[in-house]
Formats: sequence, C-alpha cells, structure tokens
Amino acid sequence: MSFSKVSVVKCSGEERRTAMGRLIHLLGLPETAERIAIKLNLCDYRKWETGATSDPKVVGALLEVLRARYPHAKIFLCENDSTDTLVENLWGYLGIDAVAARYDAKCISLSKEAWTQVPIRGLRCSGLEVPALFQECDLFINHPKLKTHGKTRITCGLKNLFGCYRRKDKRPLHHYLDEAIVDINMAVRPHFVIVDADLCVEGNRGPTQGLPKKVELFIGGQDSVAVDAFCARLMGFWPYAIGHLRKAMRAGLGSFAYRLTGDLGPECIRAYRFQFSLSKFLFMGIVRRLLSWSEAR
Amino acid sequence: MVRGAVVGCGDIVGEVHMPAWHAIPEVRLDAVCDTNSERRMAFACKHNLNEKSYSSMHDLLEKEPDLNFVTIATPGFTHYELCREAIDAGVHVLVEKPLTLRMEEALDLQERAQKQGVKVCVGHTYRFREPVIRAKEACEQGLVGEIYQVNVIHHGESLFHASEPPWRYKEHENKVLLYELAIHFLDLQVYFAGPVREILFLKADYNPHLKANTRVYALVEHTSGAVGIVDYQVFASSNYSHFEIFGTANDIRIKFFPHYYRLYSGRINPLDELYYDFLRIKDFVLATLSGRFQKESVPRRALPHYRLFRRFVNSLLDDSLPVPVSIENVLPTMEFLEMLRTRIYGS
Repeated sequence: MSFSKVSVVKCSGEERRTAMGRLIHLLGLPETAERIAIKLNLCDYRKWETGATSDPKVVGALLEVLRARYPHAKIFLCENDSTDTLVENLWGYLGIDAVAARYDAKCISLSKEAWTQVPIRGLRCSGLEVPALFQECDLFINHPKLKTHGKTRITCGLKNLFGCYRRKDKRPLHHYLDEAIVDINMAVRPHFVIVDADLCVEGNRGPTQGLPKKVELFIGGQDSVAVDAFCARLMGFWPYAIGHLRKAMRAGLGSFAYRLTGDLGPECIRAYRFQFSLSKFLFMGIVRRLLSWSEAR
Repeated sequence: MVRGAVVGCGDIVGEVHMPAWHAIPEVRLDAVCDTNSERRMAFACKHNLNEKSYSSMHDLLEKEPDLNFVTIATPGFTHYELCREAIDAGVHVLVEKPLTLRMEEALDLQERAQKQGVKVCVGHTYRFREPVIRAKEACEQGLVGEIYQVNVIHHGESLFHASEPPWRYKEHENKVLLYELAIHFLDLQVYFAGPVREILFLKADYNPHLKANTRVYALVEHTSGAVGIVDYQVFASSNYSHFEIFGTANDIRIKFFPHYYRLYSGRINPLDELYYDFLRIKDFVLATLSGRFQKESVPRRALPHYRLFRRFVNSLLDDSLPVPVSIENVLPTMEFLEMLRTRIYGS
C-alpha cells in the first residue's frame, strides 16, 4: 500500500510567513514555475474574520513565499462566481486585491476567462468545462479553508473545486452534490492542496454561517483525497462517512492512507475536534429528502 | 369576465403572479409582452399564448384593442413609460411596486389616469401579508392606541444571487436597495404611521467594491408626530426581518420569513415568548407541509398577490369599488422614497 504524504505545520505563535515557508518546504514544490494559479475560497460576502473566506493575511503569506521562490513567475489568484456572489467585486470587498498587488499577483475572475472542455469518466457526466488557465499553468495550487458543511459535513480541498463549475447558479448541482464534487475533481487536478486551517468554521451552519474556530494549522499535500481525509479526522469525522470523500477515493482520485509529516502526530488530533451535531445533520438530511421527494411528485 | 395581458414575464410572474391570476375565475389573461424574446416564447408556450405574444407595449396595445387591463411586472425604472402608454390607451393598470422612481412621474401618471378615467393599482403586496392585515385590523379597532413609533429592521443577504435578474446587480444605477427592496418595509412604515414630515438623521453606506448601497439607517418624523426608525441592510452578517409598531395602548411585533404577529402589552413573559415562537414554527411547518402535500387553489407564497389581484379585479367588475392600492394611497410612500433617494443617490 502506498501512503500519500500530508504535511501539517502549526502557525500559532509564529509568523504566518515562516509557517507557510516551512509547509512549502515540506511539500517539495518544483524548483521552477512560470505560471502559477491559486484557487482561493471566496464563496460569500463574509469577511475573513468569519472563517468562511480566504484570509488575506494567509494568502499574503503564501504569495510572499511563492514570490521569493519564483521571483519571475506570473501568479494568478483565481475564483469563480458562486450562486450568491460576483467575484469581480469580491476581490476588493474581501481585501484580496490589495494583497495581490503587493506581491505582483493578478486576480482572475474565472467566469470572464476562457474555458475548455475536458472529457472525464465521471459519476454524473462524461465531460466538463474547466478554466483553461488551470490547464495552461505549470503549478496549480488549491487553497481552501477548512470548514464544516451542513450538507457534506466537511468542506476542504475537494469541495473547494466545486466552485469551478462554470454555471453561476450551482443550486441544481446540490441535488447530487457528492457526485458533482467528484466529477469536478476529475476534470480539475491541482498539483498541490494547501489548506488554510488557521481560522476555521465549525457547527452545522457551515460553510458560510457557522462559528469561527481558531485551529492555527496549515495543512498540505499532493493528494487531495488524503489531505481531506486527514482534515476530516482532525475535525472529528470518520472519512468513510463523508460521501464525496468516499466516492472520490473509490473513483481513484486519491487514497485515505497517508503519512503525516511536520508538527503534528496522529495522537494529537483529538484536541482539534470541531463542533458538529450529528442528530441535527441527520434530521436536516431527512427533511431535505422529504422536500425534494415532494417536489418531484 | 375581464381580459388582461401580462407585461414582463420574469420569475416572480411565473411563480407567484400566474398562480394568483389562475385562482380568479373572472380573469382571462390572453396576451403577453416582454422584450426578451426567449423568455417571452417560453412563457407564452407554457401558458398557451403563442399567438398573442408581443415584444413591446406599443404592439400589444395596438393589436389587442379590447384589453381591459395590463399587469406590469418589469424592472422599476421602466414602469413610468409602460404605465403612461397603457393609461393613454385607456387600459386599466396593475403595476408592481415601485410605481415610478420619481415623484413627478407618479403625479403625472395620476393626472393622466384621472383624465382617461383609468384605474391604476400599485402592487404593494406586503400590505396583504397575513400579519400586516392583522396588525392593520388591530390598529383600526383601536387596540394599539395612538402610534408613536414604528421600527423597520431588515438585514438581508446578497444582491447578486443567481436567481436575480442582471439589472438588479446594478444597485446604484437602478436604485435597487431603495426602490426594489426597502420599499416593501418603507411602505409599511407609511401605511401605519402616515406620511413622513422630515428625515431627522440619515446614514447610508455605499460600498465601492460592490458598487452598491448596502445599508440605510434613518430616523424620521411622521406628520402624525410618530417617529420611525429604518435599519435596512443587505450583505448582512445574518438575516433578520422585524417590523414593530409602538402605540399608547399596545405594541405590535411582526416578523417575516416565517410570519409572526403578536400584540404585546405589559411585562414580557418568557413562557409567553416561547409559546408564540412555538406557534410561529408550528404554523410554518403545517403551512409548508400542507402546501406541498395538498393541492391548494392558491399557493401560500402567492396569497398576498391573490388578495391584491382579487380586489383589483373586483374594482374593475364593479366601478363603484376603489382599487386596493391606488396612486393616491402610495404617494406618501413615494414622497418618503424621494426624500431618501435625493439624499442617498443625489438628485
């Protein structure tokens, strides 16, 4: 059995830039890169202090490290419109544009860019449109936040790419959310996942309306499934119980078997357990099914 | 039987207006008009209006000379022109709120309607929501006494939701915050406390990143002497909708989404609070379940529209009956909006 490497560094009491530098070192990013795309997590008009969206300070730390490593590279911060948002005004609203300018990076609203069709053997579809930029860059980093989710229990690397569906109205995809997440991850394959688990979200009202939780970790790896599986365990979930994670593993997107490197051993993760009511989650699941069944009648 | 035409066929018309119209047997809607041909054809196809589908009000009025009324549900900034055309052609009008974006346009429509003998009804449907009807009845019965304060608090979400039409994304240009959203609550404030005499304090937040006004706080004085507090926000941290009427005898608290109405007096008892919250949840759950599992003649969501449309149709069938919300009725609201508009968006 091969083990995927998952790296974890603590960012408490340490400058974020130093912690991010150590994580990048552990991940072993390529020596050279000319075009770097970073998929952020800007899913709502909620400022970084809610834990729901990418923290400009963490994005700044990542950009600083990348800029030092690749001084001449073109760095693109990418996000797509969501059902509730227009990214073109989120850059300024959430303070990401100022950070991008400081490190000579460019904010890219994916809905305004070129998209390309990618054939996949997905669970729901045989082809998906994906941003051409992700295909063209030589380093693609998925940079999610770590949050609970009222419908999928966790949202991390795999779920962050759900934002790469081209349509703005993503509500219809929520009827088969697990499969939709797996399909988009088949079409968009990041080289690295770097999870911002500094300020996270817990509770059943995540990902956007939950409560902020200070965790102070940066987590990374090349295998999105392994990184998400570790994050699920860290939050107190059994990875097999997370539908999209289980389906992604079975679809061959990655493995649940990982080897931890960095500051955290497997014995320490209990201390990080997130609040999440299983009974409320199950109850809401039943209500949702009942409503969708009655709608279909 | 009255014959009408639908002008503008966006989502709300399909989901809310049409079920309400279908529940009124004396109405026959048999023409449709919309500038968006794709949307118009889909709507016409769904409602069997293929042969009577028009791309402009001019064509509609020219080719359908025996129309009794038109129902206008287009963006607010188009209402004046469309209403004027219909009124000048001698056709009765039911227009969604706002009547117009400017006071002088509203007065012009009023004058034209009087000249033509045409009835114009404005779709302020919040006046026909159940808790508002109950509150109005309580006020009219003297249960509240003299109203000395009205509070409007609404904290809403994003303006850029996928189900919103793109013109609503341009908040500043189309004055969406005031004339499409806050208008519901500002109209209720005027409906209960009367015309506004003066804005005592106003603070509006314009967000340059969103190119939108996101918050309005106002303290106003009504001609009755009552004060009104307006706190209207979008992109708020949490969603909240509250309308409060304070009177010398009793107070009324109304919550929306889901509905809640309560007449308060004396000390607030925590058990009472729990009981009323329980009733609110129970009503919501039962109404949702009955709406989904029973075939209702009017869906719950369309009930306020149905009540308004029903009375509008009655006024067309019986000339002696007034329209439920006439231009005269909404002029104080228009005046209040005008006061806010000039200070928030400039003249």
